[in-house]
Amino acid sequence: MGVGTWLLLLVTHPNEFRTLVQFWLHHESKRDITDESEHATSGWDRESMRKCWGFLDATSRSFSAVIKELDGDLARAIALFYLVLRGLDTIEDDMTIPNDKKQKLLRSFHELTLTEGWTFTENGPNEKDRQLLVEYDCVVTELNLLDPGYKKVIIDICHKMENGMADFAHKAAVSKGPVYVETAEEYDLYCHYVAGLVGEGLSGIFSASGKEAPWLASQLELSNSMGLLLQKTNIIRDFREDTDDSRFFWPREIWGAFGFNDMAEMRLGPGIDVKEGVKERALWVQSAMILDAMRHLVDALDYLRVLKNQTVFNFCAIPATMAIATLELCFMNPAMFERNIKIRKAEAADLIMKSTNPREVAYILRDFCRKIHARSSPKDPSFMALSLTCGQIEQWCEHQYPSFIQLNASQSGHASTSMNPADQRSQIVLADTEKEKAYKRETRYRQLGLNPNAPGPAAENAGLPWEMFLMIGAMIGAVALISVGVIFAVLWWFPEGQ
Amino acid sequence: MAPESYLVVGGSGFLGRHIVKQLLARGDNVSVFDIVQRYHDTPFYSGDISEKDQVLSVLKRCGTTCIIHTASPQHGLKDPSLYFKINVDGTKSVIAAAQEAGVRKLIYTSSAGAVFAGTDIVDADERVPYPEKPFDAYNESKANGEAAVLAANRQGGLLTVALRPAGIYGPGDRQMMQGMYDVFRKGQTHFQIGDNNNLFDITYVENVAYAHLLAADKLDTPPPSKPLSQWPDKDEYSLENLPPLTQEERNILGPALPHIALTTKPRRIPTSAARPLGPCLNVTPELEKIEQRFRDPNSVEKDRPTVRTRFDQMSEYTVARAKIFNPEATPLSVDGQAFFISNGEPIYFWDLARVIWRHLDGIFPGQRKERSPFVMPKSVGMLVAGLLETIGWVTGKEATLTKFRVTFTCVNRWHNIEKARRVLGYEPPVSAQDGIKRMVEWFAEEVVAGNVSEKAGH
Repeated sequence: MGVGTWLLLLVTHPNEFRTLVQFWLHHESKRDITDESEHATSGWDRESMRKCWGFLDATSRSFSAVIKELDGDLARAIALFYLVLRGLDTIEDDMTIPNDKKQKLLRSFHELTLTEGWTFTENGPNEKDRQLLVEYDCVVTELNLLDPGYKKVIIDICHKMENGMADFAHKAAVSKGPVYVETAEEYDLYCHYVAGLVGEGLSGIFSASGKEAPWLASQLELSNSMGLLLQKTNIIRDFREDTDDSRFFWPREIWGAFGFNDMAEMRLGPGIDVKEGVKERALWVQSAMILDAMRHLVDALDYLRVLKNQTVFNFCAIPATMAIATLELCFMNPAMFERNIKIRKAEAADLIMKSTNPREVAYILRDFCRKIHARSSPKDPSFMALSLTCGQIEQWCEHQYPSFIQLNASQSGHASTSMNPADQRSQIVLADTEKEKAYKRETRYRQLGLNPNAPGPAAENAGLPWEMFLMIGAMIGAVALISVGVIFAVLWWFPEGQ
Repeated sequence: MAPESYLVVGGSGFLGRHIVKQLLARGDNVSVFDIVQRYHDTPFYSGDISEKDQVLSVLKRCGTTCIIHTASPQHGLKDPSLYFKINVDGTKSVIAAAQEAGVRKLIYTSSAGAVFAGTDIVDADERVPYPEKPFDAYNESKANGEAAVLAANRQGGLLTVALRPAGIYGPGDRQMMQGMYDVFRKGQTHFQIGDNNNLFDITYVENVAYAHLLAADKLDTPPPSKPLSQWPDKDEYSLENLPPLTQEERNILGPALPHIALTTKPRRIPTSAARPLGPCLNVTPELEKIEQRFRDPNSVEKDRPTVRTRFDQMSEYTVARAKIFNPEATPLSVDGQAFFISNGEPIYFWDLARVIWRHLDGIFPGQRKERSPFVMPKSVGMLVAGLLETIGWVTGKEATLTKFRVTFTCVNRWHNIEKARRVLGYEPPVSAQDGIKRMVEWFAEEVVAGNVSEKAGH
């Protein structure tokens, strides 16, 4: 942003200005991969890897910053994983490559990507990442240097994804007219290929690094849910851009149910002859699509909850909070059908700074769900399902991080907890504390050889005085012992007559 | 084993009738005990449950082995003494008669209100104690009745269990629908008190009935562990050295349960191990297996992690501690326990009403003018209610908005049903949404048939 933009922001949105300044001040990159001490894991000392890092910056600047902050060699493994998928994507996307050639290339990509010296120069001039494939040999070299555990995961996922992409590319190539995703199931499958598999791969890499539990790699549903949440969010937000380019990812099963014959009929805005009722129906479709994406939120929270490594957590949590913020921005927002909309920079910065632990992230999700819910209309056919889905997030938050226990950070930096007496769960804790006290008292009695129930009719009241008597007795005893000790010591060190 | 002989006490009532129907549907031997007879498909015995001898003679005549006790006066009576007569004295006489007749099982319909004190109930589980100051006479009498039932467990050969449904609704329920319909006809549906972020549990009546059948079937399941007091090495365990759980107990706490989302109709998440084939070109036997796995409803992904806090009732830590505190207890048994029952899909308070009104719009179109919601913060609502109550007190007319109702609409009231899911195996069969649809459709028929009072019309 230029100086002018900053000044304008200061005047129009002072809070956002403050957030961005704080972000710039406090959220500097935690890791410098070019530093000599990092070379062992970042590979910066090799020219091929330096090139790979360069390509990562070129393909996605925001994403590359998050990747570089990952611990140890995770950053390098995931950077290479990302570049392999980018390469695959660049072939799939390119409409200038004839289908039979594309099919062969895609379906053998898991081998090509390990063939030393392999490059690809036949991409159309408009492919933005074509240079990556022109110099792809550096990726191959680095992949072959990678720890075998990581390499296995990357190649396995590449193999699965290339076949899925080839299947869908073939379908598009042989059909005439616009290609729609027909059913919601097919929509899920498409998202599985392009994003769910990325989730599976990331979990595999996390496990292989030893920084996360070994069983994370086999949590396929949770991993896919993470991927599907993010992919579906993008597909929803990019409605206008995609339909303008004749890419139709929304399933016909959802928009067809609202009387549309073509996805492009939902476009709004200047230059478009919008017929009566189209806007409202388009919003119901949008709501159904957002609800469909929100179904994955609970799984996403389950996934985030089991992560142990802080850098891995940030890496996964930031996209999830961005996704819910984006869904909230789109919800009941006709502007989404007119143009590309994006969450504001300051909001993104704020979310990045806050997405540091699962409790915070869960409550961020909940708050966005509440905002969505507040805008939901009873006339919307998805109204009740949406309400109950928000309720699910509320349930998740309250079960994993009960709100009746309040964390209070005091000025002196000490954290203390207190309970909200208006919440009946506090009664459980109070009762438990009582039971623990009673149990300890009884145990103490038994150790002293006393029968806790014996002292006769006064037993119930006797508990407290007895305890006090014992305490006082013990204290008097301790004071007496110390006094004797001191006297003895004095007499010892200063014998009479010195 | 000889087949069970059921006696449904209160079998002519709203919930009781659904239980009778489900028992009949599976071919069981059922009799009904109630004040009035409304149906004629089972042997019927008329009587007063607070008269032990009347109950006893019916039990003997029927050869009852299992009592399902659902009888309770409707909520909202002017005279609270009737609650105590039926819910406490009546229940005690049922218990005494059951013990005398040698009945083996008693299932009691309690209420989630047994723990309601007018304050927030959030993710509350069965450890929440009865409130020191009960909310009202109804809830107090339900809590007392339940306490008597649970105390009678394993006394005189009787096994007991209590179910606590939260907000029962469905076809046949006039309480909830009448109120909603009145507001709908008066055109007052645009008022909202509070921020509508408070969740509320509701339970479709057939789900509640189903839970009763489950509880009846599982009531004589042996507890998953012996009480700690009977362990030979019991003295080795303490709060510092908690007793280990048995394998049976671990199985109950076992793998993660799916999140309940009946209304959203979740589709299965495709994975590389189980997915549809889509536009696949060359199908191999390997790929066919992957698709089969995806289509097979029984092939679920195993070993989803269950992460629990120490506070969680179902954590090993909490279960083991409960044994130390009470060496006679078997925390994961069916008998002697209370269980919250709900749809597992709590809903924001005002949304429930809005969904019902929206259905009514479809049936009675044009009755209600479209108005944007009028939102009143809770504090303002309390103030207005106080004012109206004062005016009402002066004029002698009942206030339309009371502080009681404001509190009721702004409070959280939802429960954790994981214990019922894990111990009883309860999974709600009907979604919240389908249940509401069935209820509104039934009510609309009643309106058309002229069975609904329309006192509030313009």
